[in-house]
Amino acid sequence: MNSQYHDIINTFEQFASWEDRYRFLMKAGKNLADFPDKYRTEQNLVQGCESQVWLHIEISNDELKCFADADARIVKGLLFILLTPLNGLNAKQIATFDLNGYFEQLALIKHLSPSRGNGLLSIANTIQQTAHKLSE
Amino acid sequence: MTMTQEMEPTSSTIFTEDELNAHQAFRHAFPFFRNNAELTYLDNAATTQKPQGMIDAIADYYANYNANVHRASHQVADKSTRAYEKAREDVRHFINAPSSKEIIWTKGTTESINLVAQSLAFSRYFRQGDEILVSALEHHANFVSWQQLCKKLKLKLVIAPVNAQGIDLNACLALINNKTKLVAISHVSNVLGSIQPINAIINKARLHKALTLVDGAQAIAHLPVDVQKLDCDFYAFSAHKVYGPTGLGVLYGKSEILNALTPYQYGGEMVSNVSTDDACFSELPHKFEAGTPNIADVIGLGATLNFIQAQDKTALALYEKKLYLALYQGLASIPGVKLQGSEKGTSAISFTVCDWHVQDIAELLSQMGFAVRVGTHCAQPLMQVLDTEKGTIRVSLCAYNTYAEIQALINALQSLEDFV
Repeated sequence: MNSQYHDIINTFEQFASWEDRYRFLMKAGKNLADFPDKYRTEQNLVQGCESQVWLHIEISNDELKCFADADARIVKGLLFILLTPLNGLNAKQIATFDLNGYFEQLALIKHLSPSRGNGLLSIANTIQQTAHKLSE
Repeated sequence: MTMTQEMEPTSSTIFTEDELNAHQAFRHAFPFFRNNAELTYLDNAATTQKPQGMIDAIADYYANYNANVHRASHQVADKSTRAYEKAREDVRHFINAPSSKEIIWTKGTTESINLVAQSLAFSRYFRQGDEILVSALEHHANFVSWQQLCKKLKLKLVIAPVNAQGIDLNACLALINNKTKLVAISHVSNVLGSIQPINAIINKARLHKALTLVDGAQAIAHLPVDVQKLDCDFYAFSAHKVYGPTGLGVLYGKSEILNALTPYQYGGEMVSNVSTDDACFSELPHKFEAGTPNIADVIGLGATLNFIQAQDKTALALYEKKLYLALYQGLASIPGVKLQGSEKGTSAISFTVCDWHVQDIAELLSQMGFAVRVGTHCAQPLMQVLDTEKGTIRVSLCAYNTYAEIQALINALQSLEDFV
Protein backbone atom coordinates (compact mmCIF):
# COMPACT_ATOMS: atom_id res chain seq x y z
CA MET A 1 0.00 0.00 0.00
CA ASN A 2 1.20 3.49 -0.80
CA SER A 3 2.18 6.03 1.83
CA GLN A 4 -0.77 8.38 1.18
CA TYR A 5 -3.10 5.52 2.07
CA HIS A 6 -1.36 5.01 5.42
CA ASP A 7 -1.44 8.77 5.99
CA ILE A 8 -5.22 8.77 5.55
CA ILE A 9 -5.70 5.86 7.98
CA ASN A 10 -3.37 7.45 10.57
CA THR A 11 -4.95 10.90 10.22
CA PHE A 12 -8.48 9.59 10.62
CA GLU A 13 -7.48 7.61 13.71
CA GLN A 14 -6.74 10.91 15.41
CA PHE A 15 -10.05 12.53 14.49
CA ALA A 16 -12.36 12.76 17.48
CA SER A 17 -15.41 14.27 15.84
CA TRP A 18 -17.33 14.45 12.58
CA GLU A 19 -16.24 18.08 12.34
CA ASP A 20 -12.58 16.98 12.08
CA ARG A 21 -13.40 14.41 9.41
CA TYR A 22 -15.36 16.94 7.37
CA ARG A 23 -12.68 19.65 7.65
CA PHE A 24 -10.30 17.07 6.18
CA LEU A 25 -12.75 16.12 3.41
CA MET A 26 -13.33 19.78 2.49
CA LYS A 27 -9.59 20.18 1.77
CA ALA A 28 -8.55 16.68 0.68
CA GLY A 29 -9.84 17.05 -2.89
CA LYS A 30 -6.92 19.35 -3.67
CA ASN A 31 -4.65 16.28 -3.51
CA LEU A 32 -6.50 14.49 -6.31
CA ALA A 33 -4.48 14.07 -9.48
CA ASP A 34 -5.44 16.72 -12.05
CA PHE A 35 -8.38 15.66 -14.15
CA PRO A 36 -7.37 16.01 -17.83
CA ASP A 37 -9.70 18.34 -19.73
CA LYS A 38 -10.02 15.87 -22.61
CA TYR A 39 -11.80 13.50 -20.22
CA ARG A 40 -14.34 16.10 -19.10
CA THR A 41 -17.01 14.73 -21.43
CA GLU A 42 -20.74 14.09 -21.20
CA GLN A 43 -19.96 10.36 -21.31
CA ASN A 44 -17.72 10.58 -18.23
CA LEU A 45 -20.29 12.51 -16.22
CA VAL A 46 -21.59 10.22 -13.48
CA GLN A 47 -25.39 9.85 -13.48
CA GLY A 48 -27.46 10.41 -10.37
CA CYS A 49 -25.22 12.89 -8.61
CA GLU A 50 -26.46 16.10 -7.01
CA SER A 51 -23.15 17.70 -7.94
CA GLN A 52 -21.18 17.23 -11.15
CA VAL A 53 -18.87 14.24 -10.90
CA TRP A 54 -16.61 12.87 -13.62
CA LEU A 55 -14.87 9.51 -13.81
CA HIS A 56 -12.49 8.25 -16.45
CA ILE A 57 -10.60 4.96 -16.36
CA GLU A 58 -7.46 4.59 -18.49
CA ILE A 59 -6.68 0.99 -19.31
CA SER A 60 -3.34 -0.32 -20.55
CA ASN A 61 -2.50 -4.04 -20.41
CA ASP A 62 -3.88 -5.18 -17.06
CA GLU A 63 -3.34 -1.83 -15.39
CA LEU A 64 -6.03 0.71 -14.81
CA LYS A 65 -5.60 4.30 -13.86
CA CYS A 66 -8.59 6.22 -12.49
CA PHE A 67 -9.20 9.92 -12.88
CA ALA A 68 -12.05 11.61 -11.04
CA ASP A 69 -13.24 15.11 -10.35
CA ALA A 70 -16.20 16.87 -8.74
CA ASP A 71 -17.36 20.46 -8.48
CA ALA A 72 -18.41 20.06 -4.83
CA ARG A 73 -15.60 19.97 -2.28
CA ILE A 74 -16.76 17.18 0.03
CA VAL A 75 -17.45 14.82 -2.86
CA LYS A 76 -14.04 15.68 -4.30
CA GLY A 77 -12.49 14.87 -0.93
CA LEU A 78 -14.33 11.56 -0.87
CA LEU A 79 -13.03 10.79 -4.36
CA PHE A 80 -9.49 11.35 -3.09
CA ILE A 81 -10.20 8.98 -0.19
CA LEU A 82 -11.63 6.41 -2.61
CA LEU A 83 -8.88 6.51 -5.24
CA THR A 84 -5.83 6.74 -2.95
CA PRO A 85 -5.55 3.10 -1.84
CA LEU A 86 -6.20 1.90 -5.41
CA ASN A 87 -3.21 3.77 -6.83
CA GLY A 88 -0.48 1.35 -7.82
CA LEU A 89 -2.59 -1.78 -7.39
CA ASN A 90 -3.06 -4.22 -10.27
CA ALA A 91 -6.51 -5.02 -11.64
CA LYS A 92 -7.01 -8.11 -9.52
CA GLN A 93 -6.02 -6.28 -6.33
CA ILE A 94 -8.40 -3.41 -7.14
CA ALA A 95 -11.24 -5.82 -7.87
CA THR A 96 -10.87 -7.47 -4.48
CA PHE A 97 -9.97 -4.43 -2.37
CA ASP A 98 -12.33 -4.18 0.62
CA LEU A 99 -13.67 -0.65 0.08
CA ASN A 100 -16.49 -1.17 2.57
CA GLY A 101 -14.05 -2.15 5.31
CA TYR A 102 -11.88 0.85 4.45
CA PHE A 103 -14.74 3.36 4.55
CA GLU A 104 -16.04 1.70 7.72
CA GLN A 105 -12.62 2.23 9.34
CA LEU A 106 -12.75 5.94 8.43
CA ALA A 107 -16.33 6.27 9.75
CA LEU A 108 -17.39 7.37 6.26
CA ILE A 109 -19.36 4.23 5.38
CA LYS A 110 -22.66 6.08 4.96
CA HIS A 111 -21.21 7.72 1.85
CA LEU A 112 -21.22 4.30 0.20
CA SER A 113 -24.92 3.77 0.92
CA PRO A 114 -27.22 3.55 -2.11
CA SER A 115 -29.39 6.40 -0.82
CA ARG A 116 -26.62 8.98 -1.07
CA GLY A 117 -26.90 11.39 -3.95
CA ASN A 118 -23.15 11.78 -4.43
CA GLY A 119 -22.63 8.80 -6.73
CA LEU A 120 -19.64 7.51 -4.77
CA LEU A 121 -21.07 4.00 -4.64
CA SER A 122 -21.66 3.91 -8.39
CA ILE A 123 -18.10 5.13 -8.99
CA ALA A 124 -16.69 2.50 -6.64
CA ASN A 125 -18.75 -0.19 -8.38
CA THR A 126 -17.71 0.95 -11.87
CA ILE A 127 -14.02 0.88 -10.94
CA GLN A 128 -14.17 -2.55 -9.29
CA GLN A 129 -16.29 -4.05 -12.08
CA THR A 130 -13.87 -2.74 -14.72
CA ALA A 131 -10.94 -4.15 -12.72
CA HIS A 132 -12.75 -7.47 -12.33
CA LYS A 133 -13.34 -7.83 -16.10
CA LEU A 134 -9.73 -6.94 -16.78
CA SER A 135 -8.34 -9.51 -14.36
CA GLU A 136 -10.46 -12.40 -15.67
CA MET B 1 -25.27 44.38 28.52
CA THR B 2 -25.10 46.36 25.30
CA MET B 3 -28.09 47.80 23.51
CA THR B 4 -27.96 45.26 20.71
CA GLN B 5 -28.05 42.37 23.15
CA GLU B 6 -31.01 43.89 24.93
CA MET B 7 -32.84 44.36 21.66
CA GLU B 8 -32.13 40.86 20.38
CA PRO B 9 -35.57 39.48 19.52
CA THR B 10 -36.82 36.43 21.36
CA SER B 11 -39.76 34.14 20.80
CA SER B 12 -41.83 36.10 23.35
CA THR B 13 -41.11 39.50 21.79
CA ILE B 14 -41.85 38.37 18.25
CA PHE B 15 -45.05 36.40 18.81
CA THR B 16 -48.17 37.18 20.81
CA GLU B 17 -49.24 34.81 23.54
CA ASP B 18 -52.12 33.57 21.37
CA GLU B 19 -49.76 32.84 18.51
CA LEU B 20 -47.33 30.96 20.75
CA ASN B 21 -50.13 28.97 22.35
CA ALA B 22 -51.56 28.03 18.96
CA HIS B 23 -48.09 26.98 17.76
CA GLN B 24 -47.36 24.91 20.86
CA ALA B 25 -50.69 23.07 20.72
CA PHE B 26 -50.13 22.41 17.02
CA ARG B 27 -46.56 21.12 17.39
CA HIS B 28 -47.58 18.89 20.28
CA ALA B 29 -49.94 16.95 17.98
CA PHE B 30 -47.04 15.69 15.83
CA PRO B 31 -45.24 12.67 17.36
CA PHE B 32 -42.38 13.00 14.85
CA PHE B 33 -40.85 15.83 16.88
CA ARG B 34 -40.83 13.85 20.13
CA ASN B 35 -39.28 10.89 18.29
CA ASN B 36 -36.60 12.98 16.55
CA ALA B 37 -35.46 15.39 19.22
CA GLU B 38 -32.03 15.81 17.59
CA LEU B 39 -33.41 16.75 14.19
CA THR B 40 -34.50 20.15 12.89
CA TYR B 41 -37.01 19.44 10.17
CA LEU B 42 -37.13 22.27 7.62
CA ASP B 43 -38.07 20.32 4.50
CA ASN B 44 -41.81 20.88 4.67
CA ALA B 45 -42.17 21.80 1.00
CA ALA B 46 -41.12 18.21 0.23
CA THR B 47 -43.51 16.70 2.74
CA THR B 48 -45.07 17.74 6.03
CA GLN B 49 -45.14 15.72 9.25
CA LYS B 50 -48.29 13.92 10.35
CA PRO B 51 -50.56 14.59 13.33
CA GLN B 52 -51.35 11.74 15.72
CA GLY B 53 -55.03 11.99 14.75
CA MET B 54 -54.24 11.03 11.16
CA ILE B 55 -52.07 8.10 12.22
CA ASP B 56 -54.80 6.88 14.59
CA ALA B 57 -57.56 7.23 11.98
CA ILE B 58 -55.66 5.08 9.47
CA ALA B 59 -54.86 2.41 12.08
CA ASP B 60 -58.49 2.50 13.27
CA TYR B 61 -59.79 1.94 9.75
CA TYR B 62 -57.54 -1.06 9.12
CA ALA B 63 -58.08 -2.52 12.59
CA ASN B 64 -61.82 -2.03 12.86
CA TYR B 65 -63.71 -1.44 9.62
CA ASN B 66 -61.56 -2.33 6.61
CA ALA B 67 -63.94 -3.02 3.69
CA ASN B 68 -64.03 -1.95 0.08
CA VAL B 69 -66.20 1.08 -0.57
CA HIS B 70 -69.33 1.41 -2.75
CA ARG B 71 -69.37 -2.30 -3.51
CA ALA B 72 -71.26 -4.18 -0.87
CA SER B 73 -74.36 -3.83 1.21
CA HIS B 74 -72.81 -5.39 4.31
CA GLN B 75 -72.45 -3.31 7.45
CA VAL B 76 -68.68 -2.85 7.48
CA ALA B 77 -68.70 -1.62 3.88
CA ASP B 78 -71.43 0.78 4.84
CA LYS B 79 -69.24 2.20 7.60
CA SER B 80 -66.10 2.46 5.45
CA THR B 81 -68.07 4.08 2.60
CA ARG B 82 -69.56 6.65 4.93
CA ALA B 83 -66.15 7.55 6.41
CA TYR B 84 -64.66 7.68 2.92
CA GLU B 85 -67.38 9.97 1.54
CA LYS B 86 -67.31 12.10 4.71
CA ALA B 87 -63.64 12.86 3.93
CA ARG B 88 -64.65 14.04 0.47
CA GLU B 89 -67.09 16.41 2.14
CA ASP B 90 -64.29 17.56 4.49
CA VAL B 91 -62.10 18.43 1.49
CA ARG B 92 -65.01 20.22 -0.20
CA HIS B 93 -65.45 22.32 2.93
CA PHE B 94 -61.69 22.94 3.28
CA ILE B 95 -61.39 24.54 -0.18
CA ASN B 96 -64.99 25.82 -0.28
CA ALA B 97 -65.98 23.88 -3.40
CA PRO B 98 -69.70 24.09 -4.27
CA SER B 99 -70.20 20.31 -4.31
CA SER B 100 -68.35 17.22 -3.07
CA LYS B 101 -68.98 15.70 -6.53
CA GLU B 102 -66.29 18.08 -7.74
CA ILE B 103 -63.66 16.49 -5.47
CA ILE B 104 -61.80 13.69 -7.23
CA TRP B 105 -59.27 11.47 -5.47
CA THR B 106 -55.96 10.95 -7.21
CA LYS B 107 -52.58 9.79 -5.98
CA GLY B 108 -51.11 13.28 -5.81
CA THR B 109 -50.84 16.69 -7.47
CA THR B 110 -48.90 15.12 -10.33
CA GLU B 111 -51.69 12.67 -11.12
CA SER B 112 -54.32 15.39 -10.73
CA ILE B 113 -52.57 17.47 -13.41
CA ASN B 114 -52.03 14.47 -15.66
CA LEU B 115 -55.69 13.51 -15.27
CA VAL B 116 -56.74 16.91 -16.59
CA ALA B 117 -54.17 16.83 -19.41
CA GLN B 118 -55.08 13.32 -20.57
CA SER B 119 -58.85 13.75 -20.18
CA LEU B 120 -58.77 16.98 -22.18
CA ALA B 121 -56.81 15.15 -24.87
CA PHE B 122 -59.25 12.19 -24.85
CA SER B 123 -62.12 14.67 -25.11
CA ARG B 124 -60.53 16.30 -28.16
CA TYR B 125 -60.62 19.67 -26.47
CA PHE B 126 -57.51 20.97 -28.23
CA ARG B 127 -56.96 21.68 -31.91
CA GLN B 128 -53.62 21.82 -33.63
CA GLY B 129 -52.04 25.26 -33.10
CA ASP B 130 -53.90 25.98 -29.84
CA GLU B 131 -51.81 27.41 -27.00
CA ILE B 132 -51.23 26.25 -23.45
CA LEU B 133 -49.74 28.82 -21.09
CA VAL B 134 -47.52 27.84 -18.16
CA SER B 135 -44.84 29.82 -16.35
CA ALA B 136 -41.11 29.27 -16.15
CA LEU B 137 -41.29 28.63 -12.40
CA GLU B 138 -43.58 25.62 -12.56
CA HIS B 139 -42.69 22.37 -10.84
CA HIS B 140 -41.96 19.73 -13.49
CA ALA B 141 -45.36 18.15 -12.73
CA ASN B 142 -47.08 21.27 -14.07
CA PHE B 143 -44.57 21.79 -16.84
CA VAL B 144 -43.56 18.50 -18.41
CA SER B 145 -47.20 17.25 -18.44
CA TRP B 146 -48.18 20.15 -20.71
CA GLN B 147 -44.93 20.19 -22.68
CA GLN B 148 -45.41 16.55 -23.66
CA LEU B 149 -49.11 17.06 -24.45
CA CYS B 150 -48.15 19.96 -26.73
CA LYS B 151 -45.61 17.81 -28.52
CA LYS B 152 -48.12 15.01 -29.01
CA LEU B 153 -51.03 17.17 -30.19
CA LYS B 154 -48.94 19.81 -32.01
CA LEU B 155 -49.99 22.59 -29.65
CA LYS B 156 -47.88 25.57 -28.72
CA LEU B 157 -46.47 25.68 -25.18
CA VAL B 158 -46.22 29.34 -24.19
CA ILE B 159 -44.03 30.07 -21.17
CA ALA B 160 -44.67 33.17 -19.07
CA PRO B 161 -41.38 34.74 -17.98
CA VAL B 162 -40.37 34.94 -14.33
CA ASN B 163 -37.89 36.91 -12.27
CA ALA B 164 -36.40 36.28 -8.84
CA GLN B 165 -39.72 37.34 -7.24
CA GLY B 166 -42.01 35.10 -9.29
CA ILE B 167 -44.15 35.37 -12.42
CA ASP B 168 -43.83 38.64 -14.35
CA LEU B 169 -47.56 39.47 -14.29
CA ASN B 170 -47.72 42.00 -17.11
CA ALA B 171 -45.70 39.79 -19.42
CA CYS B 172 -47.88 36.83 -18.46
CA LEU B 173 -51.16 38.69 -19.10
CA ALA B 174 -49.89 39.86 -22.48
CA LEU B 175 -49.42 36.22 -23.52
CA ILE B 176 -53.09 35.30 -22.97
CA ASN B 177 -55.16 35.59 -26.17
CA ASN B 178 -57.93 33.82 -28.05
CA LYS B 179 -55.61 30.99 -29.03
CA THR B 180 -54.92 30.25 -25.35
CA LYS B 181 -57.00 27.21 -24.44
CA LEU B 182 -55.56 26.46 -21.03
CA VAL B 183 -53.54 28.31 -18.40
CA ALA B 184 -51.71 26.14 -15.82
CA ILE B 185 -50.06 28.12 -13.01
CA SER B 186 -48.88 27.33 -9.51
CA HIS B 187 -50.38 29.16 -6.55
CA VAL B 188 -47.08 29.27 -4.63
CA SER B 189 -43.62 28.62 -6.08
CA ASN B 190 -41.99 25.51 -4.60
CA VAL B 191 -38.57 27.16 -4.93
CA LEU B 192 -39.12 30.83 -4.10
CA GLY B 193 -42.10 30.49 -1.78
CA SER B 194 -43.61 33.47 -3.59
CA ILE B 195 -47.37 33.73 -3.93
CA GLN B 196 -48.28 34.07 -7.60
CA PRO B 197 -50.76 36.66 -8.91
CA ILE B 198 -53.22 33.96 -9.91
CA ASN B 199 -56.39 36.08 -9.52
CA ALA B 200 -55.38 38.44 -12.31
CA ILE B 201 -54.21 35.55 -14.50
CA ILE B 202 -57.43 33.58 -14.00
CA ASN B 203 -59.55 36.67 -14.78
CA LYS B 204 -57.72 37.37 -18.02
CA ALA B 205 -57.89 33.68 -19.00
CA ARG B 206 -61.64 33.68 -18.46
CA LEU B 207 -62.07 36.72 -20.76
CA HIS B 208 -60.51 34.62 -23.49
CA LYS B 209 -62.50 31.49 -22.56
CA ALA B 210 -59.34 29.56 -21.63
CA LEU B 211 -59.52 26.88 -18.95
CA THR B 212 -57.50 27.50 -15.79
CA LEU B 213 -55.67 25.00 -13.62
CA VAL B 214 -53.97 25.98 -10.38
CA ASP B 215 -51.20 23.78 -8.94
CA GLY B 216 -51.87 24.26 -5.24
CA ALA B 217 -49.29 21.80 -3.89
CA GLN B 218 -47.28 24.46 -2.04
CA ALA B 219 -50.25 26.63 -1.07
CA ILE B 220 -52.66 24.20 0.54
CA ALA B 221 -50.91 24.05 3.95
CA HIS B 222 -50.10 27.75 4.10
CA LEU B 223 -52.85 29.85 2.51
CA PRO B 224 -56.62 29.79 2.82
CA VAL B 225 -57.84 28.30 -0.46
CA ASP B 226 -61.32 29.20 -1.73
CA VAL B 227 -61.88 27.77 -5.20
CA GLN B 228 -65.12 29.73 -5.66
CA LYS B 229 -63.38 33.03 -4.97
CA LEU B 230 -60.47 32.04 -7.21
CA ASP B 231 -62.99 30.89 -9.83
CA CYS B 232 -60.41 28.54 -11.36
CA ASP B 233 -61.64 25.54 -13.36
CA PHE B 234 -59.25 23.08 -11.69
CA TYR B 235 -57.28 23.12 -8.44
CA ALA B 236 -54.80 20.33 -7.65
CA PHE B 237 -52.99 19.43 -4.44
CA SER B 238 -51.39 16.54 -2.53
CA ALA B 239 -52.59 15.32 0.85
CA HIS B 240 -49.07 14.76 2.16
CA LYS B 241 -48.18 18.45 1.84
CA VAL B 242 -51.05 19.44 4.12
CA TYR B 243 -50.15 17.12 7.04
CA GLY B 244 -52.02 14.21 5.42
CA PRO B 245 -50.90 10.83 4.10
CA THR B 246 -48.67 10.20 1.07
CA GLY B 247 -50.08 8.59 -2.06
CA LEU B 248 -53.25 10.66 -2.08
CA GLY B 249 -54.12 13.79 -4.00
CA VAL B 250 -57.13 15.90 -4.83
CA LEU B 251 -58.39 17.34 -8.06
CA TYR B 252 -61.12 19.91 -7.75
CA GLY B 253 -62.88 20.66 -11.03
CA LYS B 254 -66.00 22.61 -11.90
CA SER B 255 -68.79 20.08 -12.41
CA GLU B 256 -69.90 21.41 -15.80
CA ILE B 257 -66.38 20.86 -17.12
CA LEU B 258 -65.82 17.51 -15.42
CA ASN B 259 -69.19 16.29 -16.73
CA ALA B 260 -68.17 17.12 -20.29
CA LEU B 261 -64.80 15.36 -20.04
CA THR B 262 -64.07 11.79 -21.09
CA PRO B 263 -62.13 9.86 -18.45
CA TYR B 264 -58.74 8.45 -19.43
CA GLN B 265 -58.58 5.52 -17.01
CA TYR B 266 -61.11 2.70 -17.12
CA GLY B 267 -62.06 -0.14 -14.80
CA GLY B 268 -64.25 -0.95 -11.84
CA GLU B 269 -66.09 1.67 -9.76
CA MET B 270 -66.33 4.13 -12.65
CA VAL B 271 -68.92 2.42 -14.88
CA SER B 272 -72.68 2.16 -14.41
CA ASN B 273 -73.49 -0.22 -17.26
CA VAL B 274 -71.25 -2.41 -19.36
CA SER B 275 -72.13 -4.48 -22.42
CA THR B 276 -69.75 -6.26 -24.76
CA ASP B 277 -69.94 -3.26 -27.11
CA ASP B 278 -69.90 -0.22 -24.84
CA ALA B 279 -69.97 1.14 -21.31
CA CYS B 280 -71.79 3.95 -19.53
CA PHE B 281 -69.67 5.87 -17.09
CA SER B 282 -70.77 6.64 -13.56
CA GLU B 283 -71.73 10.07 -12.36
CA LEU B 284 -69.20 12.46 -10.86
CA PRO B 285 -66.89 12.05 -9.06
CA HIS B 286 -66.68 8.28 -9.60
CA LYS B 287 -66.19 8.36 -13.36
CA PHE B 288 -62.63 9.61 -12.79
CA GLU B 289 -61.85 7.11 -10.01
CA ALA B 290 -61.26 3.77 -11.70
CA GLY B 291 -60.40 0.86 -9.43
CA THR B 292 -60.35 0.47 -5.67
CA PRO B 293 -59.38 3.81 -4.21
CA ASN B 294 -56.87 4.61 -1.46
CA ILE B 295 -59.54 4.25 1.24
CA ALA B 296 -57.30 4.34 4.32
CA ASP B 297 -55.47 7.48 3.27
CA VAL B 298 -58.70 9.23 2.26
CA ILE B 299 -59.98 8.59 5.78
CA GLY B 300 -56.61 9.75 7.11
CA LEU B 301 -56.87 13.01 5.18
CA GLY B 302 -60.36 13.55 6.57
CA ALA B 303 -58.99 13.21 10.10
CA THR B 304 -56.13 15.59 9.24
CA LEU B 305 -58.45 18.28 7.91
CA ASN B 306 -60.71 17.98 10.97
CA PHE B 307 -57.61 18.41 13.13
CA ILE B 308 -56.56 21.54 11.19
CA GLN B 309 -60.06 23.02 11.39
CA ALA B 310 -59.98 22.61 15.18
CA GLN B 311 -56.80 24.74 15.48
CA ASP B 312 -56.67 28.49 15.98
CA LYS B 313 -56.00 28.95 12.26
CA THR B 314 -55.72 32.74 12.39
CA ALA B 315 -53.08 32.67 15.14
CA LEU B 316 -51.19 29.85 13.39
CA ALA B 317 -51.12 31.76 10.11
CA LEU B 318 -49.77 34.88 11.85
CA TYR B 319 -47.20 32.78 13.71
CA GLU B 320 -46.01 31.17 10.49
CA LYS B 321 -45.80 34.52 8.72
CA LYS B 322 -43.64 36.01 11.49
CA LEU B 323 -41.45 32.91 11.58
CA TYR B 324 -40.92 33.21 7.82
CA LEU B 325 -39.95 36.85 8.20
CA ALA B 326 -37.47 35.96 10.97
CA LEU B 327 -35.98 33.26 8.74
CA TYR B 328 -35.74 35.64 5.78
CA GLN B 329 -34.10 38.39 7.83
CA GLY B 330 -31.78 35.93 9.58
CA LEU B 331 -30.57 34.52 6.26
CA ALA B 332 -30.24 38.00 4.76
CA SER B 333 -27.94 39.00 7.66
CA ILE B 334 -25.37 36.30 6.82
CA PRO B 335 -22.49 37.58 4.66
CA GLY B 336 -22.34 35.84 1.29
CA VAL B 337 -25.91 34.53 1.35
CA LYS B 338 -27.82 35.29 -1.83
CA LEU B 339 -31.56 34.99 -1.28
CA GLN B 340 -34.10 34.31 -4.01
CA GLY B 341 -37.69 35.44 -3.65
CA SER B 342 -38.81 37.99 -1.10
CA GLU B 343 -39.88 38.34 2.51
CA LYS B 344 -43.51 38.29 1.34
CA GLY B 345 -43.29 34.61 0.45
CA THR B 346 -44.76 31.67 2.28
CA SER B 347 -42.99 28.65 3.82
CA ALA B 348 -40.12 28.14 1.35
CA ILE B 349 -36.97 30.21 0.87
CA SER B 350 -34.16 29.42 -1.55
CA PHE B 351 -30.61 30.69 -1.35
CA THR B 352 -27.04 30.12 -2.38
CA VAL B 353 -23.84 31.09 -0.55
CA CYS B 354 -20.96 32.84 -2.29
CA ASP B 355 -17.98 30.51 -2.98
CA TRP B 356 -19.90 27.48 -1.72
CA HIS B 357 -21.32 24.57 -3.65
CA VAL B 358 -24.86 23.94 -2.38
CA GLN B 359 -24.07 20.25 -2.07
CA ASP B 360 -21.32 20.95 0.49
CA ILE B 361 -23.64 23.15 2.56
CA ALA B 362 -26.35 20.49 2.49
CA GLU B 363 -23.88 17.81 3.57
CA LEU B 364 -22.62 19.86 6.53
CA LEU B 365 -26.14 20.93 7.56
CA SER B 366 -27.21 17.30 7.45
CA GLN B 367 -24.30 16.39 9.76
CA MET B 368 -25.48 19.12 12.12
CA GLY B 369 -28.97 17.66 12.22
CA PHE B 370 -30.85 19.90 9.81
CA ALA B 371 -33.22 18.53 7.20
CA VAL B 372 -33.23 20.99 4.30
CA ARG B 373 -33.40 20.41 0.57
CA VAL B 374 -30.63 20.96 -1.96
CA GLY B 375 -30.84 20.78 -5.72
CA THR B 376 -32.98 22.05 -8.54
CA HIS B 377 -36.30 21.21 -6.80
CA CYS B 378 -37.93 19.74 -9.93
CA ALA B 379 -37.87 23.25 -11.42
CA GLN B 380 -34.94 23.30 -13.84
CA PRO B 381 -36.41 25.99 -16.14
CA LEU B 382 -36.53 28.33 -13.11
CA MET B 383 -32.94 27.45 -12.13
CA GLN B 384 -31.84 28.62 -15.57
CA VAL B 385 -33.62 31.97 -15.07
CA LEU B 386 -32.10 32.43 -11.60
CA ASP B 387 -28.67 31.44 -12.91
CA THR B 388 -28.42 28.77 -10.21
CA GLU B 389 -28.00 25.69 -12.37
CA LYS B 390 -26.17 23.89 -9.56
CA GLY B 391 -29.34 24.36 -7.53
CA THR B 392 -30.19 26.14 -4.32
CA ILE B 393 -30.59 25.32 -0.66
CA ARG B 394 -34.28 25.38 0.13
CA VAL B 395 -35.52 25.86 3.68
CA SER B 396 -39.26 25.40 4.14
CA LEU B 397 -41.12 25.84 7.40
CA CYS B 398 -44.54 25.20 8.89
CA ALA B 399 -46.37 26.57 11.90
CA TYR B 400 -44.94 23.73 14.01
CA ASN B 401 -41.36 24.95 13.55
CA THR B 402 -39.88 27.05 16.35
CA TYR B 403 -37.98 30.30 16.48
CA ALA B 404 -35.15 28.43 18.23
CA GLU B 405 -34.88 26.11 15.21
CA ILE B 406 -34.58 29.10 12.88
CA GLN B 407 -31.89 30.65 15.09
CA ALA B 408 -30.02 27.33 15.20
CA LEU B 409 -30.04 27.20 11.40
CA ILE B 410 -28.72 30.75 11.12
CA ASN B 411 -25.95 29.91 13.61
CA ALA B 412 -25.11 26.74 11.72
CA LEU B 413 -24.80 28.66 8.45
CA GLN B 414 -22.57 31.20 10.16
CA SER B 415 -20.32 28.38 11.38
CA LEU B 416 -19.71 27.04 7.86
CA GLU B 417 -16.54 29.13 7.61
CA ASP B 418 -15.00 26.86 10.28
CA PHE B 419 -14.84 24.09 7.71
CA VAL B 420 -12.88 25.96 5.08
